[in-house]
Amino acid sequence: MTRLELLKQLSEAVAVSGDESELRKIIREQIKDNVADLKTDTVGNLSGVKKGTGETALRVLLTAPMDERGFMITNVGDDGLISVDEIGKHDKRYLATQRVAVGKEKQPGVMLWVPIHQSRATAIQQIDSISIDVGAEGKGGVKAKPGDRVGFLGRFTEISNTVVRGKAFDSRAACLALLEILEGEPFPFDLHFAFTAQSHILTRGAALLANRIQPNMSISLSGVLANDVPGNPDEPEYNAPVKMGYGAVLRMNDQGFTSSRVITRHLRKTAAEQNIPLQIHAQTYDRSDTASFGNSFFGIDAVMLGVPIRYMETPNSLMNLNDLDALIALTRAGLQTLDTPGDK
Amino acid sequence: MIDLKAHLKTLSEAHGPSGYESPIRALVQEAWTPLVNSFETGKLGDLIAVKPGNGAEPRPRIMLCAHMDEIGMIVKRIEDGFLYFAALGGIDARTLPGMAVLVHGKRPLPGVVALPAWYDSAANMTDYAPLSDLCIDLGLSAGEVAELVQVGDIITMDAPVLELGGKRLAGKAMDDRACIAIVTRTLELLQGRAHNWDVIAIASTQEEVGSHGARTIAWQFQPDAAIALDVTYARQPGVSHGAYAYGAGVPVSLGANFHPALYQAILDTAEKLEITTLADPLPGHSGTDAWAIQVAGEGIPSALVNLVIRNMHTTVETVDMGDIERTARLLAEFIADLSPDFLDKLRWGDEE
Repeated sequence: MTRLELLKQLSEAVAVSGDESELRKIIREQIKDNVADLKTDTVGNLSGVKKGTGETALRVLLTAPMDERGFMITNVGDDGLISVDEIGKHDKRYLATQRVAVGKEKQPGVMLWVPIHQSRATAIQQIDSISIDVGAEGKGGVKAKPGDRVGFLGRFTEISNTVVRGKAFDSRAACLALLEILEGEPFPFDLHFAFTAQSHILTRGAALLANRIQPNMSISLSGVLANDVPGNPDEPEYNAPVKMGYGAVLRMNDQGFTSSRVITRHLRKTAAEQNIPLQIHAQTYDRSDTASFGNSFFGIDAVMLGVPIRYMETPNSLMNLNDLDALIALTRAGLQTLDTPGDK
Repeated sequence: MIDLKAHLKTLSEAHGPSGYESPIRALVQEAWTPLVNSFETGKLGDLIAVKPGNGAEPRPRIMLCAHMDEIGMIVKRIEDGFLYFAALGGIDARTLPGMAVLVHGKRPLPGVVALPAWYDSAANMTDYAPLSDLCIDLGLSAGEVAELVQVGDIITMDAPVLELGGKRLAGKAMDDRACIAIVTRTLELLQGRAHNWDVIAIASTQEEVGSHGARTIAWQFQPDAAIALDVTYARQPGVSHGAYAYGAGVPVSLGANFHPALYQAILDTAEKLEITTLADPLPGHSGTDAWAIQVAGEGIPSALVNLVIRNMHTTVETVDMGDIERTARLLAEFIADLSPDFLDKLRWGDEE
């Protein structure tokens, strides 16, 4: 399978927060022969160890989120139309007429839309007014039931030599990065890794890993919102600190978390020495990237490293593969050159 | 039998907005070639296909008209590699953010419609953005965009057909290519059937911007009667008037745009076939090619036969294949039933 085929498979898979089984299946298939101690914990994190060369005894944890934003069915009407609640924070301005996969059987559906000829209402549609149509005449035609999840039906597309379009890159590109790192050369230490679950539910999954693995340090990979789309010179607060095509992103802080000074310094130094394009994201105004929220493991040096993604919270986001390469290169190089804790 | 679902998928996924229908015309012509005797292309790009009748000449002529154009967009301004655009036809700007589109520059360029960054302030989170504030992101550098795209290039929605349950298909341009599919099946059903009248099948252009194709063709050909085929509203929450359920029957429109005797004749055929028809009251402007056709030249008795769809003017317009097949059966039978003297019947009853 080529890299793009794998990214397509990861992107188009349906794994909404709380049920990441489809992702775990794909990931296990990819790495089962390369790693040790592969296990799924009680919330669905898939973790394991990539054996190192034994040079140091550092306990390092590298994570990437598996789950995507989606919906949960709240009601199936007698008319066969489905109502939902949201899972994860959606940008509702981008939700009209979306195509979805409903339930475990991924029954294809569309979000109904009252045509412009009949309504000119400009208020943004809220989640509770969404009706999903799977082409059922009545309740009986709907295979799923309340409590089942609904995910977007993504369509992965290469839109240029370097830029791809698709859904859920914020999790799936991070998963690809982690997979490629796990397939590479061993590190001087045993690398603990986890593909995390429920990142969109206040990143509850990640905290369990800290308790079990008790790493000295961790790096969390994820997407970071690239907002380098037409800005407004009068409102610099909303203009882009993070740009697509300008490399990996080192997040200095987030709504509840500050990246470790020690490790950020190390990564910036590594990036400069190895000519890996790196952007620093230090803006206090932040459209919340809840994937990073729970990585504030007590007493652990932790950083968030990301890949810029435009329209990250929507079903059609854009990513530059060169940025993904930079993320992988920097993570690898950063880990390879880690000294023992005492040296810092 | 032609695989009508495959035919409709091909039509739906092809790109041909108002004024730029050539790719669609080629597809329709290819499908209709075994079904008709001759083709002509109108001055505005309409496809005219003739299946002559069997009666003695001069034969009266009935025109079947479905439009092949779709709503689209056109590049109006390029800034830093982002495209600003205007609408070609009734684009619903509320459905655009996040939409995959194809920009027809030096080559077809995939992109996505986006809200600019400054839209992220809280004040802009309550209402949908107007079309003029939206932009298209091709994921290319400003230099590459300058090389590949120019103002005036057209843009189309990029959406594959999605099969839903119960014979339903969701996709773009079902308005009105689902009705082109009805004409295809109608022509096929007429193969090997005798019919007195000539059938002129039209895949018209520019309906979405004013029915310019149908208007010019009706003037040029002056058929003796015409049936336009277009979509109408299927029942869905929030659609309050003029909506019918899938499978409920064929809506046939009533109103000033339509000749009552032609309307009645269609109903008579339906009754014979035991096909349910639904009276679709349209008292004024029908918003279809029928509006232009009726007043072409000295006037053409017109009818409008409808196909219900949900989510009109979006990338998920949803049709029912059963409705398509049923409508084709009705039209084929109606045409086969047309007697040479049917024109005499198209009278107002107050003549003597």
